[in-house]
Amino acid sequence: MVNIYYRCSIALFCMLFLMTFSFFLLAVGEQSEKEPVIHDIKLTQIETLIAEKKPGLIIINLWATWCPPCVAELPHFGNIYKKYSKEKVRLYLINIEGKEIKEKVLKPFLKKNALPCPVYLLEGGKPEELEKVLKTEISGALPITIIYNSEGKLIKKFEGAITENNIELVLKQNGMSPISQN
Amino acid sequence: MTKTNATKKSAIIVSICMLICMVFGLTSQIKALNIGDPMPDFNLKDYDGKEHSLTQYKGKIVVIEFCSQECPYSRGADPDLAKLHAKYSTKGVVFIGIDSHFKTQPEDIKKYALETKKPYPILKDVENKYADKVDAKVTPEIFIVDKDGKLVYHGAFDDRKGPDGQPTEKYTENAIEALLAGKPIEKAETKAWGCTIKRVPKS
Repeated sequence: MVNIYYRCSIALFCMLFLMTFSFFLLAVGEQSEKEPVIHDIKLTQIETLIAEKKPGLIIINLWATWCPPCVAELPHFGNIYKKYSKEKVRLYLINIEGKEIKEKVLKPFLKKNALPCPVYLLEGGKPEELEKVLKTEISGALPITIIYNSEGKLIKKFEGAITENNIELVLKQNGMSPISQN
Repeated sequence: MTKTNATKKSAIIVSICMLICMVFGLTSQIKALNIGDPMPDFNLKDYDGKEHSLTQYKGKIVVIEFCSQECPYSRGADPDLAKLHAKYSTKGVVFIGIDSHFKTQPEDIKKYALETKKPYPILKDVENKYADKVDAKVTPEIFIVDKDGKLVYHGAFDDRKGPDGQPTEKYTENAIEALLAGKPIEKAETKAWGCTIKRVPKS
């Protein structure tokens, strides 16, 4: 009889120990989760980067956390970022929701939907203002992806959802090849 | 001498003609519908099968909202549109929603409208024909038509950046206020973020 009680209490103790240990592991896991990289970006900075005339291409993607097709295509951009030279294919995933969403919305969103690349948060910027710096008409419907060449010339504009293949085709047509197949 | 003069003259005439063609070509390409143009009529059914046309509302200010229940940003504007409806529907302003999303069926619209207590009719734009006619691209996208049936405002509902965002400029309300006061609309054309109108896929 005593033996059974003894055994049961040992088993209970072991279970409790395991539970505490797993909670501890979970907590550590959460802490070690990478902080998402978010850069603020102004309209003038976008204008400058298009005008820089650096070799390679610039991809600008305008997106919002509330836009389902935008969210769906983010991993495609993540793959492009991993596959191509970061100097030759300069990727700017620009969220248009403004700094007020940074802590409450964007950070938790990027923790849940981790990306290998930095994300840019636009300061201000109505569609009309963006049209001027992007040098093209935009309807305001998201997502929008615009690709510029080294001369700052617009070479492709997608309004609506796209895939990795759509982007890769443009990259290939403009002499870009992946540096790794991962 | 006279020959070169004639050549010069014809060259000038040709280039002027080309210039005129270019200008006309460009302006016609830029926009199908301009502020001040008569708003094209529609004949569309609401989710109960009742037909509505723009001409039946002649003499009233009509606020047309291209909307989509599939679009969080469009849904975000709904409570504020309902408030505007409550404020202005007694002052001769008619509100109409148009759903052009190719997948959304009248019964889906009805379910959503009843659930969210959308206070005005939502019409089904089958095969996005009316959206094509007026070149509507985004949800929500607002067209305001004056008592004479002319387009007086086109663009964003307001300037918020997300479904729950706080607007700094209430474009639609400002336009209605100006119309009711008989004043010119300060911003007759605006743009805003939104979802693309999901049109019937081209085969």
